[in-house]
Amino acid sequence: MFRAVGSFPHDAGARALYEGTLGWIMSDAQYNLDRLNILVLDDNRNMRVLIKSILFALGVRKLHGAHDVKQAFRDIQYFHADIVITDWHMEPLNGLDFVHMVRSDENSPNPYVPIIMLTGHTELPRVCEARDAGVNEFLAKPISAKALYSRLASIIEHPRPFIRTKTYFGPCRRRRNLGAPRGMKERRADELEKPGNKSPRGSYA
Amino acid sequence: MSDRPDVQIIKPLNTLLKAKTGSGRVTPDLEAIERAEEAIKTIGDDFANWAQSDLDELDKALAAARTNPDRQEDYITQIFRRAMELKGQGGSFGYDLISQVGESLKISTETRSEANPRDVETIAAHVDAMRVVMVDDIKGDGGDVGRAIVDGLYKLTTGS
Repeated sequence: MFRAVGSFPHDAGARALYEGTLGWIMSDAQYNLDRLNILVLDDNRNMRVLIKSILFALGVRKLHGAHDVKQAFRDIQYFHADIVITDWHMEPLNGLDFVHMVRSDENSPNPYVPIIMLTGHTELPRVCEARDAGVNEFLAKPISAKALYSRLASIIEHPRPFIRTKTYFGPCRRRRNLGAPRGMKERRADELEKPGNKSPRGSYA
Repeated sequence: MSDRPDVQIIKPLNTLLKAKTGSGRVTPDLEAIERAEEAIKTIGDDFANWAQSDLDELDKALAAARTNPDRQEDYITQIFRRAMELKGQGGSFGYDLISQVGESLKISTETRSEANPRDVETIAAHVDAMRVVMVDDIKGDGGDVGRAIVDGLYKLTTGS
């Protein structure tokens, strides 16, 4: 018997088959990381070897290593990086300088490229400093394969809008949607409560 | 006066979707992660040589800091940078204790521009501890030996 499109099977066997098929379809997504260009910037050769080896094993094939900020900024002009992984501590320019250059320099080929910052500094003020420079993800050293994979997945799955203000340009720094401040009414509430002013949601906030 | 609003929200094209096939939720590729962990183990065979080189450089910087007090800031900066590298790499290869001692050395040297004789000996104790870890090939947290090392260094750095 054929069912109408959109109807739901009611007998248990058909339902299990339906849900099983749906589950199969929904979990069929995979990553083909060989489609991505990833730039690795670290002044320490051993760290570059480690990061590139992890990425290669995860399936990334188009990898480019750079050992200083100037070289990396030159290289991204022709190596069209989809993701940048950079160390923080480098000289004379450091990872934060590189983030500023990528986000704001007029010669930057892609100010929106996702950037993962690697660092041995895990103190909160440092994390905030990296975030405020326009970093997408933060990865503390020592790194692991799982941690690097999870940052890549986060960047692919949860792209964040970019925000431009007078003092900041970079991915939205809000990581969670917390809703309205607890216990406070909507800021526009006073305005909405005026007679004749109706909330766009159809009720007064 | 510019017409640009104070806050602009821009949604760039998500070019990374080319890395995704199929639709819906992606389950983590455990095989790929396992392959990556194996790759780390393979490189880990070289870590002993890398660490040896870093420890030799630490010894040189320490000797220079002892004999050239006028340039101590430069040498302490060098020591700090080596400490950061050892901290950053040790744990990736299973040498968690190297990362712990590296973190302690990093904290001891991060904001310091000069070192009195006691500070120099504290740095030396960290270098010696890391050498012991590598010579004895102590992996993980090092159990009782590891705890004794970390506690000893903590007492030295805090003066308690």
